[in-house]
Amino acid sequence: MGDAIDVVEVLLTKDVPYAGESISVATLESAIEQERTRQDHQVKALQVLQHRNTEVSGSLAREVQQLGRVSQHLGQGRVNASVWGRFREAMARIPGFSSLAVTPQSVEEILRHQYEVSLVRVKEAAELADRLGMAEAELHDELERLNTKIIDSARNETLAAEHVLALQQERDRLELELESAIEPGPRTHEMQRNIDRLRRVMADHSMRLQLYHTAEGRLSRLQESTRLLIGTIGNLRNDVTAYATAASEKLDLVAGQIRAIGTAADASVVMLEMKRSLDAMAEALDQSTRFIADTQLYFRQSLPGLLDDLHVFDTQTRDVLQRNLELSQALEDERIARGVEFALLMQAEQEALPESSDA
Amino acid sequence: MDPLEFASPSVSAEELALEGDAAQRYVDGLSRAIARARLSDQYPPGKRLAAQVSAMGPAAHGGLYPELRVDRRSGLPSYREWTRVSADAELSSKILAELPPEDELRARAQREAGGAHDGIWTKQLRKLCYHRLLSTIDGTPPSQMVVKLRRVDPGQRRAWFHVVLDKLDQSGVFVRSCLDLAQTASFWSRPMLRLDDDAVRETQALRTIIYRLTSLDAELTFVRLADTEGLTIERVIKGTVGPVYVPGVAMPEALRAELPGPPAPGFLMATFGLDMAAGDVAEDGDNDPVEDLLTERLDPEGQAAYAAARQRYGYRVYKDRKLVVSSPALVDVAHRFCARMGTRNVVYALRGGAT
Repeated sequence: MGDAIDVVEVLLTKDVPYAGESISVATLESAIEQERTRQDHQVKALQVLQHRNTEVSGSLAREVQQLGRVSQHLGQGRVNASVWGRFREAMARIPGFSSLAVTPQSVEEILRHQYEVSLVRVKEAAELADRLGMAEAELHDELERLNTKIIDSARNETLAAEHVLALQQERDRLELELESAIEPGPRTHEMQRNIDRLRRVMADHSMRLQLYHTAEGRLSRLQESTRLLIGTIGNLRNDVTAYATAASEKLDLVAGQIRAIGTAADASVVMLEMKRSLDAMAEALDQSTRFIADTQLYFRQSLPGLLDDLHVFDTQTRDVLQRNLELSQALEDERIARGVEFALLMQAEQEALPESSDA
Repeated sequence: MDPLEFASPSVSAEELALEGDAAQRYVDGLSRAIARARLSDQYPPGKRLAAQVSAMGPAAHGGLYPELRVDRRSGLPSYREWTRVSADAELSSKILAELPPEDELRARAQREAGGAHDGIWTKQLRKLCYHRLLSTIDGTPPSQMVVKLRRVDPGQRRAWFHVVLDKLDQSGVFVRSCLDLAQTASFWSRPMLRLDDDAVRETQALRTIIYRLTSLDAELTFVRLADTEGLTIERVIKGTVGPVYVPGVAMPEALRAELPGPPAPGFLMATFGLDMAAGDVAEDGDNDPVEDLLTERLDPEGQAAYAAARQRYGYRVYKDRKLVVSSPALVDVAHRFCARMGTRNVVYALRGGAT
């Protein structure tokens, strides 16, 4: 009898080493809400980046149009075609100026200006890639945090199940002993007292078992959403990085060609070189624009769906939580029974594992 | 190690590609040389250029850019580098506004330290430092024209202007063209400058003429504008930063002859030219050891044409150049080079006073 009481005392006073903060319906709700807030923040950041993407795309498109116009203008040889231009050219001929025809605007200057504007646009695109990189890194941190919580919840779930089973085993033993007692007396009262105390502790730990199980599931769904976001942002970042790098390399080539044009920028051969430079730049930026347009389409298609999914998920989890709360208040016994049942199931699975692996 | 030493630069046909410490030593040397030259307003803006050059070094950008390209003809950073700094500076305020606080970036960068490559947070921390620096400097692009009204005489329908064009020239040197000119309004001539209620603006025609002539002598610009209906040109001054001679950069034969061997690592000789064509120049002269006057390069017929132009428009030309060398030991070399070219020039040393 003394040993039996000791076992009960040990079980009742056992400090189960749950990881993390203590769990309750309120703390779980709060923890999930925090994670959801973080995720909402990331989605909003994504929307900002989408907006930025639209801006960069628009400005690049304008530069491409401008380059196209200049290139066409040069290609048709219309830089110096006006009557006034030809007249001034003729009048401007003085000793030493034979190679310096006067044009409405220096083609070298046009090209340099266009290069400088385009460089800023490409840098804006590179900056967008960095912003996406930061968002992706933050989401990876978020995923790591969720993984840690999921692992903790899973471990705690196992600990709770083990403890609930141990409590139930002792309670069953005492109930059996109580039923077999011939007459009530101090001993039976002591047994009834221990049964009640065990039941109380079981109620606490079976609730934890259910909460940890719920937490694991809900955190896993958040984890899936986070992975979706990481995938979306990662793809976009890779695309933007690719076009920004390609455009930057093209601009390097154009910078070299600008230098090669020299002071005789109006000579016909130089005009051809110029057109080639402009075509190269226009081609690079045109590719960039197409890239951005594609990724923008991707965003437009995937982001609203993603947001809808997240909101649906949010509603569903709230409903589940509410239902759990009502159940836990109204049907404590049933919850304990389910906890025990679940703990037994887990135990059975645990026992089956070594056999499976041995096989 | 000599702070100017930049050993083993990788060499391409037109540009040097400096990396790491070599790039930083070059940037330090060049920015110090520009500051040491004590450039007046007639030269490209020394303080702005020195600050922009400093921003090109790894110490400023923290390795965001793998290399620094140097124009082999001028010894100055290539056009790409100048535009890169000005484009970055244009975006600085926007980037700084969007980056997380420094403490947060440092903590995140510290957490990701130890990987094979720098992570995104390390890069952002570098960008924060780089753009903070850029936000303190003038990132004006390589080319810029400013026109100021000096005075107006409504009775004569005449206005006097001061025009300044800064430009990274095709030859790779930085040029500032300063022009003092007057314009008389006339029904028959198209104005080169426009005077609005609150501002004065150059026309595209004037801008094009000046822009395209920066590569050539001040005299050419003077003659070209003097021949323009409605304009009276008073003075054209062109100040240049460069060429700068460092190992790997094209160097005058006369300078090479004064060196005991190939330029040693750490060798730097920066030159700063001034070319004037104006009515108030005391006498024609050429004290430039690096570049001859245009007329000296022409055939006798061309020289005669220009002599006639000087007579007609009443101007004189003068070219001068000052030099900055990387060490006092090179001052004598610089003087001997100048003497060999028939000139006497001011030479400053980076470590030591003017001679």
